[in-house]
Amino acid sequence: MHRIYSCILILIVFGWLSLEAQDSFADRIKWKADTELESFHYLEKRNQVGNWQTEWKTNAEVKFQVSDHLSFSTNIQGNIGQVPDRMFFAIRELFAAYRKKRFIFRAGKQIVDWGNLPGWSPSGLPNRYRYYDFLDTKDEEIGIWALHGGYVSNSFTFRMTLSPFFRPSELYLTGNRWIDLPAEIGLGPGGSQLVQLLYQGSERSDQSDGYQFGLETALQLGKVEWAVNAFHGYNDIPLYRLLLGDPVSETSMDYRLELVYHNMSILSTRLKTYFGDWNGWFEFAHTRSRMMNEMHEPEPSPFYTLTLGTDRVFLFDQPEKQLKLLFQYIYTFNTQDIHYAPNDLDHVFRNTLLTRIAYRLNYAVSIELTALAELETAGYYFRPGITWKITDALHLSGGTELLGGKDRGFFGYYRDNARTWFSLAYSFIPKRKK
Amino acid sequence: MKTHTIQFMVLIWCIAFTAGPVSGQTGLEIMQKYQDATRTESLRSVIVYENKSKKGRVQEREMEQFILKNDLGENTYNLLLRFNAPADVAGTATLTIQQDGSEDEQWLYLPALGNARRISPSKKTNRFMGTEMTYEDLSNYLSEPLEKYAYTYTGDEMIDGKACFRVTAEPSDPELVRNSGYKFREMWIDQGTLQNVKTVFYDKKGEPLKEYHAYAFQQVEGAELLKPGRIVMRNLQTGNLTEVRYFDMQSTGDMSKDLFTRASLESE
Repeated sequence: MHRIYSCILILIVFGWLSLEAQDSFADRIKWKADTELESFHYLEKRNQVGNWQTEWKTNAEVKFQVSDHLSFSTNIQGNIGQVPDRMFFAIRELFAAYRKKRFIFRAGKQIVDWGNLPGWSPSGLPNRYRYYDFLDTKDEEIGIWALHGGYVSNSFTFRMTLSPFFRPSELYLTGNRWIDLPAEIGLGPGGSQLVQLLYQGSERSDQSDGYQFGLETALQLGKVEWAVNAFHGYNDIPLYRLLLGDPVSETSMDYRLELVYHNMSILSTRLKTYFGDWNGWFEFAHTRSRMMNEMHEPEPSPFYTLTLGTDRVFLFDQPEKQLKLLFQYIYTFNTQDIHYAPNDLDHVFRNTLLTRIAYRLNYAVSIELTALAELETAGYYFRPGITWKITDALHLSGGTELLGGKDRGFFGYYRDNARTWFSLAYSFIPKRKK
Repeated sequence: MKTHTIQFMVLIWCIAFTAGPVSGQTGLEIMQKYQDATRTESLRSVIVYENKSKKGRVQEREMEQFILKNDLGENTYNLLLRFNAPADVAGTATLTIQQDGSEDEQWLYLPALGNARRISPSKKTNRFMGTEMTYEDLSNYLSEPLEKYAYTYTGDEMIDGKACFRVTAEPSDPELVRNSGYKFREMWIDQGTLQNVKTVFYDKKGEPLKEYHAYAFQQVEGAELLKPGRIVMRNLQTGNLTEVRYFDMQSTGDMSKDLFTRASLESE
């Protein structure tokens, strides 16, 4: 219950700040907050979980500019969800940032994006999220304690990030439409005797170095930016092993889940450029990860990802209209003839075309479509939506998400999670001048 | 017939009298004085603008504007724009580095991406941030390249109770003739303050396209400079308009070059 009070407190504090935003102290503070009620209605039941998933999420960001060089920022989030694990109040970011000429430095808790392309980046695999919903990860990024620094000029960039503490993504193992816990196991000769499994919790097995470290070097050569990225850390989504307990009866058995974290590294090269009004980008990444072998031991499982994309904004004679397009092709392969499980989040995109279209009909109404075609497994994902800006601050959105394809692919495996959704969002932001 | 001849002579006399350089100045001389009175090395302000569609829908934006003359050309500037509101664009920033001899450098910072990327420089005829202004209008607002236009003084006229010079500006530079969005402009320059209070833009066919009007001139802090506190650009062909209000205009001379870097753009 106290978390509900926390969310309400955030709204009251920031509502008050919006009234006081005109004074001189406020000139050194930049802040914004938003609160969003989002509800999904699933068309089919899955895992005994209800058809409705509704959450109320509130975010607030504050930046205090101490001087031209030094600032402090924080980002706090309150969440009210249907399940106890989704009732939380979190400080997602709390950091000091210092900039002197072309040198930048940031220390504290911060959201780190290890890959930053306009579309999807294979370097972003280690990004930390709360994976309550595998598709809707908006505002679900987790801040990690880290030091970030570098030299950033228009022609040359060097950045490094070190996070010395263990902080993987968060999974919601029970009561979740996206995670299937093992329900039975075959014992005896040839696994012929099926025994029902009773989940009794999980435990962590950390086989990693326990830190994350990333480097980026980029050269701007005229219209082309060429970058090399390196990451060493650990997987954010664990492998798992069953730890079987004593039989409860002849037909059932307790078990615990061992979540195994291991080292992971990514080396990638990236090109960004533009051709006329089109932006273009390319990335090739070599990822050294691990998979469980038949003996249930993690063993090296490297793979490669190649991606190519383009995006553009179209402007029209009628200024209210605007069209944004993004196309991306993603191809993932390995040299060991390994086939990935359909619910393996690190290998959702194998031979995939991604399209994003956003068309603003006028200042109030825009329509969007995200479409994915997974060619290897005949998988598809469509997310058409419409947003009505009732005011600049109040937005009402709705749409649907359709998934399908073969069972051995992510989108086919989760086809039962097709859903409709709506969202009502309100933003608090001070207008400095009226 | 005689009456018609007299009327015609009177008409010719009137045209000659009103269109001639009564003030003794040519169009170019008026424009040089206008430029001397309005040119600035740096300018910082908060801008609130509204795009209003013919149907009454409104889009409002607030942003901070930083402008600094650079040494990459005769009339070239660095321009940094940071959006403050509304929330869905807050934090978005663009950096433009104008330069002679090669295409401008333009960078876009989107908070969701976390880093800046270089983008295709906007064409002269592109709308500036979705407004009725174009990048060509903005460039001319900062510093009009006088050598690239032919100016003709066409008479005096009262605008908003102020005596103004009326000057026609027609692109004369071949490249500008090709790339400009206008066949010519008619400008009204206040004879007292040498400020541009009104401009009518004509499209390539010579039809009136847009009308600019400047109001509420105010002193820029830190400089002997007047700038309009409010401007309205009305598209005469579509009925849409953009209204811009300027706040806290400063030209204090201590604006750092470091502000116009990728590092600064990403430190938002």
